[in-house]
Amino acid sequence: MNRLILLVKTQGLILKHRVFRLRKGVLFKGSLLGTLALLFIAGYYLFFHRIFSYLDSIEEFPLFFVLGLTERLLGMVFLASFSMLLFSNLLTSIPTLYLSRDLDLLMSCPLKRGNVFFFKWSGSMLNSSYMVLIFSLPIFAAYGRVFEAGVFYYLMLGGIMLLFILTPAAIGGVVSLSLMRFLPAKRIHQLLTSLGVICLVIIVVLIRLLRPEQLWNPGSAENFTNMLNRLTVPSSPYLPSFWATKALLFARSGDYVSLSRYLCFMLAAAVGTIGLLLIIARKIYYEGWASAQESKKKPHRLREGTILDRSIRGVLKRVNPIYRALLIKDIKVFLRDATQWSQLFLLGALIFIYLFNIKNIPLPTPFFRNIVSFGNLGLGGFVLAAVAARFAFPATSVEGKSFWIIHSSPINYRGFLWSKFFLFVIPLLLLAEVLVYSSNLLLKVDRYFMTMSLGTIFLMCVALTGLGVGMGALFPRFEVENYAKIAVGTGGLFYMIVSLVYIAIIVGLEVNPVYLHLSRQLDPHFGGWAYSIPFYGGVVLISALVTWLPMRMGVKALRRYQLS
Amino acid sequence: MSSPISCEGEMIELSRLKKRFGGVVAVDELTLNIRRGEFFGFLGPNGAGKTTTIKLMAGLLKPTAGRMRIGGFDVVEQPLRAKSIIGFIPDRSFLYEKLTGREFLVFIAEVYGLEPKSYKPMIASLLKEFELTPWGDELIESYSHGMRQRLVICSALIHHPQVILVDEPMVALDPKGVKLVKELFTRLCQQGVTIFMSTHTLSLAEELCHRIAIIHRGRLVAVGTREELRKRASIPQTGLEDIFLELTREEDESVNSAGKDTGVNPQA
Ligand SMILES: Nc1ncnc2c1ncn2[C@@H]1O[C@H](COP(=O)(O)OP(=O)(O)O)[C@@H](O)[C@H]1O
Ligand SMILES: [Mg+2]
Repeated sequence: MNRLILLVKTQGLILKHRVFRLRKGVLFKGSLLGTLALLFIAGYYLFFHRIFSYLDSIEEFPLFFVLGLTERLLGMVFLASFSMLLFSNLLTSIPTLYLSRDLDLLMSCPLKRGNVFFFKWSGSMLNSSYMVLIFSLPIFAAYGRVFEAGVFYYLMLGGIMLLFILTPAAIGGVVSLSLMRFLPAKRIHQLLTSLGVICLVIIVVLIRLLRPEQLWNPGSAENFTNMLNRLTVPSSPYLPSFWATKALLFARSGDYVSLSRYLCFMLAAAVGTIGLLLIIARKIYYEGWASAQESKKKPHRLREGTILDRSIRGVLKRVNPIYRALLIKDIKVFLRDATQWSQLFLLGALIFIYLFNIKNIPLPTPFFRNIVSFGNLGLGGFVLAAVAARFAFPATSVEGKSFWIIHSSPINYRGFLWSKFFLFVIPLLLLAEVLVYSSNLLLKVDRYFMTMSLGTIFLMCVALTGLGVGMGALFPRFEVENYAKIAVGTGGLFYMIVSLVYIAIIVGLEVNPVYLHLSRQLDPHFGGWAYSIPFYGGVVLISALVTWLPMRMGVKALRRYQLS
Repeated sequence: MSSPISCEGEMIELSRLKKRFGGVVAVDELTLNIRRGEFFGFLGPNGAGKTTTIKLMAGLLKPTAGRMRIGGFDVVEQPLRAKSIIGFIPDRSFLYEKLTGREFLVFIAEVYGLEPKSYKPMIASLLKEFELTPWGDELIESYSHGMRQRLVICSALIHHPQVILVDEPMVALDPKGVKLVKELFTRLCQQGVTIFMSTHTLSLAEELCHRIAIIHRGRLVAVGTREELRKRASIPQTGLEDIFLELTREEDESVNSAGKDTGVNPQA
């Protein structure tokens, strides 16, 4: 036990150094990010406060309906949190329990293996739970505030959440331990990532198909009881999320007997699963870890190498051989890394939801459809920016610790960066044009709108890619191993902000010509073609500038870059 | 590619090179001239500034002051030309884990502008020489530390560099690998390649190098052939090890009292 405390202390020391030995720039970035996060949480809280207050305030809703509705809402939040917890515990526990670097050291120290396991497992639990807590706690706090809960409620909330995160963490641990007993680590991590992403996609699609917007759109003639029934949350009395919902509701209403009953259920589940976890861990953790060490080194011969190589070379026959070499390398590295390409599933789900939403917007007149198509352009730009933030922005950073190879070779950074640009702009253009074209087809817009939006999204796509690749080179992060983190770092955030400003400017510039076009539809004598030209000219000019300028700055920054 | 070689036949010219990291001066007023075909040893204890010097020459770091010319090309002004004649072998080598060894070598060859006609046989013979042929089609992620080091050495040789900058080459290698690299470097040197090798292993420098520089706390303490270094030391019959220890210790003490006894003139 003493040793366990020592481990925790060391971890605390590392954290302390991280916080107090920050360089100035990092400190600034950190506080900026912290402020943004706080603002976000505050906004999030206020949003749910509004929703609960709204439900509470509508006179014609009977009380039982309001309570039923909030119960269902909370149930949904708990269910979603529970599945997210399970999901993230599964994903983090294998890497932390089996692949983290400090394990070599810990296992060779005179520490009890049980202690090492418990230490790593709790770390993985904290890592995978804090995001879920950040997203769910403001909702419960808002609920308590609106329905006038006392201090007791908030105390209980803490206890409930603590119990609530334990069970999924233990289940995640048990599943990981059992999987690792039979499968080699490297493969399993990739398998899990792909599986996880697919699960996430299914969850997202399911939530979309449930059409939660129906909540806010009650038909006036409808019976409230019917409506409640239509909103059934898939929830069984055996699920911890169900117990947590009940416990929370009883903590507010002050029904201590029922509260303690559900708390007991939760406690029993936590104790039971953790006990099981520790027993299994004692039996198979060390063996699993040892065999994972071997499988890391297991050779993996590539047969597909030549086929892949030849086909890429065939496609890129006319490209300068130096830049072709870079492209071949990037494509191969991407395709062979399951954690990379599996994210494409997410992209697929995104598109599906996007088009599904467009299809379901009730649009009576062509006039409306054109307006929506125009708004769709802005939204499409936003989706594009998000995708570019994930894929194009890290383009330079993915070189990672191997960047010395590029930096010490006679590669011209202009070619280096532009080849990255072309690598991303082509698939992004494909995505953007298909997205806009199909949503415009669904919206049945006229030819003017079709041409205008296809052209605009083309320019946006080029500009957003240039901006992403350029800014990514301006703020490279070669030390980060998980590329998804690069997109949500300070640089990525900055990129998103600049992108949104750019999209707003483009859409703003096009409002005028679009207005003219719509007026012409109502009154064919309305002229003003010439009047549109400067606006479209501005769009082209700004897009060109947004493409070129960041790329140029990125090239200069890379030339100056010092790799130590 | 291009014909460099400045008129005096100096391949590496460092003049008053200086690199500062915040408050730490890692390389201080370093002046060195190294001839074509010379095997130059760069010797110093840990933290002396060897890696920093090599990274400066490879163009990974920018100097705070001073000038560097490699093959007549200024590293700061004409980086691409200088880099194209350098073969750089770092001390810790991070590679593209998801490429195979062979694919990596092809990548490097193409980046240096070679044609498949010339690089294909070159790669095959390098893989064979370094006994990596059976591993050539495995992903690098499955390589051991020593195999990675061998692969990096291969990759630094593909484009027939005129200058090889190598930082602590033997650290990860097994005895066989060490022997291989020693023979290879000696042979390359005879063919006119200039080699700049940093090491903290005295015997290695003694065995291989034509001239040796001793660096301590970023400053050049002594430079010359093995015999010259011995002659200048106070006790003639000692090995290089004693000279090295004496010089670096002397420097430590000279913080308080100006060192003198060795009689070694830092400005060789
Ligand atoms: N990126 C860096 N930032 C700050 N100090 C550095 C950096 N790189 C090296 N140094 C310092 O420069 C000195 C020389 O380091 P280095 O060249 O790595 O030594 P060597 O390779 O001879 O062991 C050391 O004192 C080291 O702490
Ligand atoms: Mg070093």
